[in-house]
Amino acid sequence: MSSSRAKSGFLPLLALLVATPSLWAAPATTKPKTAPAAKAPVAKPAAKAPAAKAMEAPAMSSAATDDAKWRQPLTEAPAALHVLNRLAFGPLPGQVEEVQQMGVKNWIESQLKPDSIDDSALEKKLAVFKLIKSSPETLSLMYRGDNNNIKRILALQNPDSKKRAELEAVAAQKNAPAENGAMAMPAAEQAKSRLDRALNERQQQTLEEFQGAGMTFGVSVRTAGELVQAKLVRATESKRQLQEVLTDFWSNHFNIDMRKKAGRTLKVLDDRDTIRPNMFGSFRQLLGASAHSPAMMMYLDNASSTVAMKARGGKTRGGLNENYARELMELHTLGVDGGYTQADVTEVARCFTGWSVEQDGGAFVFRPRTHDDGEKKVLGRTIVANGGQNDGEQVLDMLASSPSTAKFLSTKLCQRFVADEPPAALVDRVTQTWIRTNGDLPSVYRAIFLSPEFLSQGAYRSKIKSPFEYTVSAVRALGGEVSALDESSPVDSLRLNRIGNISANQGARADKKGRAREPLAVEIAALGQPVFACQPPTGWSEDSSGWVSAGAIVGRLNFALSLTSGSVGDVRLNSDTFRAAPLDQLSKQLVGGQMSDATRATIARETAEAPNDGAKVRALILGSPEFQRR
Amino acid sequence: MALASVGVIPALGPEFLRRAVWADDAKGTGRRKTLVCIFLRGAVDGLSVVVPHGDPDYYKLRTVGAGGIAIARTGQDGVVDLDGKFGLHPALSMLKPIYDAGHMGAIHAVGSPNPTRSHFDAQDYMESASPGNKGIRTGWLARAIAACPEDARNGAKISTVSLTAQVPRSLDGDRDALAIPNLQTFGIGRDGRAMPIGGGGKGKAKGGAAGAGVGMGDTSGGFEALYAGAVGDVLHGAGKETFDAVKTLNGLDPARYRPAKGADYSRSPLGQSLQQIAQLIKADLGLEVAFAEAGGWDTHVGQGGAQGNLARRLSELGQALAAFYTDLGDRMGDVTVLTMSEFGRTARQNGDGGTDHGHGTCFLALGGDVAGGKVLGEWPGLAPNQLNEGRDLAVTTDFRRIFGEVANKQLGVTDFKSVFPEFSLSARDFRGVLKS
Repeated sequence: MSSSRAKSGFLPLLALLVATPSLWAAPATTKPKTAPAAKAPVAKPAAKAPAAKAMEAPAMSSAATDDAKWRQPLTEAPAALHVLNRLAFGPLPGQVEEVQQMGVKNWIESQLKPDSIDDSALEKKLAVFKLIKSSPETLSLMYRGDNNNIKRILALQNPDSKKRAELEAVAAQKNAPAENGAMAMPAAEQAKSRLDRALNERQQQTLEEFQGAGMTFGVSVRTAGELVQAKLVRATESKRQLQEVLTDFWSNHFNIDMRKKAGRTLKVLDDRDTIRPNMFGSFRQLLGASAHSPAMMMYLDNASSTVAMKARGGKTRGGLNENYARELMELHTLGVDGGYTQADVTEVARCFTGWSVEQDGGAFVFRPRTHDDGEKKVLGRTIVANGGQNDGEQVLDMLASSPSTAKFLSTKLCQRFVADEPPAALVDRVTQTWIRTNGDLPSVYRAIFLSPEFLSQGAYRSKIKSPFEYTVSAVRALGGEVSALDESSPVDSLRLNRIGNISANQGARADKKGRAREPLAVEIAALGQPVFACQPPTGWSEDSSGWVSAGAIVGRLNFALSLTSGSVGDVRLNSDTFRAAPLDQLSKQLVGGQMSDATRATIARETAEAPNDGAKVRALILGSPEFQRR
Repeated sequence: MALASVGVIPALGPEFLRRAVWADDAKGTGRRKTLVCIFLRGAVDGLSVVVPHGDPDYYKLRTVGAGGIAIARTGQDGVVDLDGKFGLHPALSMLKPIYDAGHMGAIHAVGSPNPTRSHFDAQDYMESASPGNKGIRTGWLARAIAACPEDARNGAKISTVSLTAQVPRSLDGDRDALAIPNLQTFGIGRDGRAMPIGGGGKGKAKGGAAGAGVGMGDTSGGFEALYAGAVGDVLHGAGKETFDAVKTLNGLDPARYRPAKGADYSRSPLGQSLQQIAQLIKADLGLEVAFAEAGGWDTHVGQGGAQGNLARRLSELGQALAAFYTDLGDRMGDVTVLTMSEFGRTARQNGDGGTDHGHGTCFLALGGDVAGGKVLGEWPGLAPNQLNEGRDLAVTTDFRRIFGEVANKQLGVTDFKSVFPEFSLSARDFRGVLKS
């Protein structure tokens, strides 16, 4: 096992099998070559046919045939399809030809300069989304005003409230002889105290501000809905496709689960002011923006991490919270094997004490009073005392310029854009580019997108689409449109609420739906990856091999049926979309003509009785194995 | 084998009777022993699940009352005492009768020899049962299943199920593992929004879905053929599993499932997962291993004490487990449930009324074969010099000793080397979680 591989610990070895159909088809011939016995997966008893991915100790891509596929370039039409599948969310009808005409490399270059592409039609459509243009103060107020305690207390004050009647009944038991006394009494006490409760001063003030700003309950959820819907509209319609793909990548890299506290509104700032404006600069710039993102400070608990302070009575208050410091190194920069220790985590956490969020303002703030001003030692380097906010900046400088970060991020980008198991030579070159340019992201993107490996047979159609990629690419392939939703319209407002709830509320589960005409965001959630709601700070894995399972395929087939029967509530499809058309033409439009003989024969057979059923043939193609790949 | 049941405690019946039924059933009906694993993702605070109220250091590290997270020894909001030394969190009080019946046990100070405090790594290590080594790509459950005696899967229609959107790391490598987030919507065109399967009958589209007249009634068969044709493709295997499972589960009609004896799983995701596992067990499909998970345990801030964030999570867990036990009744004789979590939390509460990433935690085991009514494991103590790195509950039981014991006694695995390649394990290392 090459030491660089072993050290990175990042490349899932079994992915190789997925990425390499020839190996997959004949697992018996794939024998471990260099993996030490102790580390090899354990062989199963021969009596039971084991799964290939369990059984086969992963071979390194050292086989000659394996190397060759990375050197075999794509011809023009497949290359155009490939870049649209990787640097865009799949081709629109006719777009493969457009890219071919423009030249694949020219298209890539233009996508790398998004500002040079006119996207005014999209901007016009996005103008409907007003909530996500709010200031940090307003976004913060939305969340605070939607406070459940305020809502509950107000609801109980309404004399017609059913809940009030229930509580009154329970409270009445307080005076009744208790049947099993010990249990009944506290419930009655509780009920009574809930009925007696009024808004406290702070809640009263929040409510006045909230109503004074013309807000109504649920606005924080509808704002989350707008953010999700805007992402879907952009992904399907923006001409700056690479910008959208990169936003998806970086937003997942610096993952923030909207369901945590004020994340449902603060994520708006992270998307708008942190990720989007900083993806085409240096990595240090993006990392710094993320460290100043109120949503990030809140999500990883840094907002409340402080030096221990003296309180009355000899007690201490406040204290260190290591969560951000740890994930900053493990997930955002160095990688888990990037060479840091628990002591470094604690020291980095000390450096970031005081990096917080304004309590009622929603903006980033540094609080000198809660900052630990002592000397720190991070990764062997001393950070002198009394550095204030600059302590954290120094840590970010160190982390952004570390070779471990270069390697970790280069690997992850190659995994996203090239293959689940990207060739080591490419990863090395991209890492070198990263180090040479000090993490200049456009240079890194170019090193990947213009590499021979990216436009090779090895990469071509080797990745399985994520739920987001699958659904959005299906809408694009059909030439469909995702509706912009206007909060001031009652119907749209309900829908925004549903969409926001799916991503922003712990209790909302997409697999509970069973309703017709759910919006696209709910369909995506049902496929296992709700937008902006990945619970662990890791974000979704970039290794696509884990995304295919029986449950996942059922969900995808159901989506193909829903979409082509016009049952995805907020997707508009032109009725022409379902005209009968020759299979060749549909194959070209939907899977770039890459349809296997078996698929072609099956579809011909399945549609023999109703050759004019355009919807059915499209459903079959969108549900086919071919369309799961990109 | 209808036996009288008293109150909430199902009578499991005399051991010999149960064994006899098991021996008979094992020949072909698909009824067999089942292991249910519940992963509590996010690192549950073991010191709050089973509270060491008899250890005076516990109350030095955590405070009771406003802002504190300790559970009092006595009183209304106090622990549910188990043995004078340990007690259940009051939100888990519904489990006490099961513990008293000898069908639930707890193992304390369990964890990994690896010191990582990363959720990601620790879950990976626990699920692959290979702490410190990321080179092992298969999950421990997948390897345990593979090491089961040959007869275990004969006649099984559905042997391994995970009630999750994706196959969990623990089952990585088990080709038969099915990931199903919800049985009720598992099927093609069955979830009430698309086309009916087989041209009518069950699962008709509701709400006048546009295109209902398009005639896609038998599209399911078309899809099946598409995936059958994708030979040599990773999608072929997943496709075949998909269609086999759909056919089997279509017969179950999960939407109409009514738990026995009025068992109430609650609407929590974990409750719903366990309810569906109970249904699969009762359907005698040969279910051998089931996996479910629940999140929300990463209580850095505002963990709460007898009430609050953690208490709400625990009460969902307790209610789901108690309902599962009630619902399955005497079938619990064939079932073992094991909860697990990647690590525990700091022994001392932090500045935010929460706890940070720690080390040792607590597992629970439920079932007819559980040697319950005991808190197992060696208690390492909570004095400053007894804490791991001066801050966490130390680990005195390597989690693989628990995994190994359930694999052995529940699944019949004897080849430990194949399941725990880097760990020397023998029957002497068992903690006595299950009866021999």
